[in-house]
Amino acid sequence: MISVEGLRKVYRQGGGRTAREVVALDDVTLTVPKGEIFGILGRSGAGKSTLIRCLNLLERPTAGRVVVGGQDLTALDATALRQQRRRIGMVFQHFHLLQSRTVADNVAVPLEILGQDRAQRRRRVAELLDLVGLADRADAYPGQLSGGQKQRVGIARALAAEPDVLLSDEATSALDGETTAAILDLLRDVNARLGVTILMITHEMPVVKAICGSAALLEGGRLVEHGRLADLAADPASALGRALLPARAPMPQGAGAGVLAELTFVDPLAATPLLGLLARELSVAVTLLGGGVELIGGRRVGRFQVGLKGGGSATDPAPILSFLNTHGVRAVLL
Amino acid sequence: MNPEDWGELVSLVAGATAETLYMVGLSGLLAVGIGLPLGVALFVIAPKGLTPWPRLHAVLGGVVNAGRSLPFVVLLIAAIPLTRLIVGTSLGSSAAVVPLTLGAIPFFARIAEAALREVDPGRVEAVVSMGGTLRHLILMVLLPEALPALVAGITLTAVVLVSFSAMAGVVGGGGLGDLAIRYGYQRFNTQVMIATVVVLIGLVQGLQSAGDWLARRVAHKR
Ligand SMILES: Nc1ncnc2c1ncn2[C@@H]1O[C@H](COP(=O)(O)OP(=O)(O)O)[C@@H](O)[C@H]1O
Ligand SMILES: [Mg+2]
Repeated sequence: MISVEGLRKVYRQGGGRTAREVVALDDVTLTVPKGEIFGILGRSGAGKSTLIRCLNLLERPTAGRVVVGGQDLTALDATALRQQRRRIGMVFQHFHLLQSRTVADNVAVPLEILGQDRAQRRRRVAELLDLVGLADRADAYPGQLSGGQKQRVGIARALAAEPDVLLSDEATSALDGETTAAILDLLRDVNARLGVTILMITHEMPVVKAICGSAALLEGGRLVEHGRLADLAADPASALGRALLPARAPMPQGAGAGVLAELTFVDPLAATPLLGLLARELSVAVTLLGGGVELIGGRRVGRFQVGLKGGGSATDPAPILSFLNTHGVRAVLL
Repeated sequence: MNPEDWGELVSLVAGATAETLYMVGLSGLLAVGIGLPLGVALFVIAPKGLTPWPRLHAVLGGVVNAGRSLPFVVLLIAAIPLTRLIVGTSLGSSAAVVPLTLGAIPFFARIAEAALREVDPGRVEAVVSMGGTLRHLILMVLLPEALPALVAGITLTAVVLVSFSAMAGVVGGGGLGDLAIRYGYQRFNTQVMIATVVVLIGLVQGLQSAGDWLARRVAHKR
């Protein structure tokens, strides 16, 4: 649905002799399949907003291609670009609702741009306000709404023109925890019911964990890693995976626990007999020191810290690790 | 003072007030009608505006600044040939409308431009992201969102026009300023002088209150 190739964005900050260049995005390549909820993570200044703003060309890339729904946006003239933007909804951290319009009239803005007549607009706005649960606030002004309600209006407005893609830049960052959960539920519902591809920026891991199927990590304008959430969590080398499934600090082990290792695996129940197998086949005693199982990206992923002790006095970890790895358990020494 | 004098005073002041209202009303209408599009243009074609056009912006900005820097008395005299061309005479209230309008256009254009600059760019960008055209941005975002500030600016312009119109009286423009000079200054008629001052103060107060009320009403529910 969205595909970005070699995206680069350089800002010029300041003017005259003190002007300097800031590379906000550096050779970013990324594909987001249709119907996906895709999270973009990264610390402040990593280039998240720049990336999402390049996807509807609010920011024109310095180099690279932005293809949305098969259309290379960077190749379009102004009129064609406006047409394509109508297929891409956007939700903002600070809502950006028009203060001069009621809730209903705010939601109607994209429909007016599409040139729909009053009756069409009325019908569609009613549908959308129902969807976001604000039918009773149609005649209120944004100034009379809470933050969560404003964001619901923002989402209804972004969905008004039946877009294929929804871009969300920190849509929940200005909201409290409970309101955030409700907005995330709404986004998940929108994705499930309407099949809208959602690309969302956040710096909050729990948000990604709650609704994303895939995620990417930006660092200093570079895409460090991306993939399906469960795969990332199951990869002990993945920084995103670490953040998704933090390794608990292992318990202070008794001297007898042996070599310390960390085991990561998808679907832990299937992996459990493996530990018994380990004991039988290689005569290794497995001591559980810490860890846990979590539902991530719709799959159960476990990460445990264990002590491995062989039969002899000095345990050689190499055959144990390779045994575990061949059976689908990612094992690393601590 | 006897009753005939009272009657004469009232009819003098009433006539002059009507002339002042006519001058302020007509020149205010024209100044807003021309100054608003000019202010929108200045905002939109600014170097970092919605559709940058730096050279035209520099030219328009220069003309507006020149108009703003000209003291109104100078404009009043300098505009006489143009006034003759348009109105046929340089005397009377209708003639005064020409320099008043010329003076108020750049004044209001800058006010309008400043009002638009106060509109949160995020709201403009939201409508850009929906595929809105420049027309959509001006009519759906910029003007409605800036409306309270624009109303305040129109009020300010009207008040300034009242004082400009009094000055126009100096060169025979009619109105309250003219009355004050002819009766109050040249004939030492204190009653007329006082009445003129009272009416002018009342006029400005009234305009300001009406403007404030309207601005509040427009901003009401936001
Ligand atoms: N309009 C701009 N002009 C100049 N520099 C900018 C602009 N927007 C962003 N930047 C710079 O680009 C970098 C990435 O910013 P941004 O995309 O906003 O990061 P994030 O959203 O991840 O916090 C930062 O160093 C920021 O200062
Ligand atoms: Mg940001």
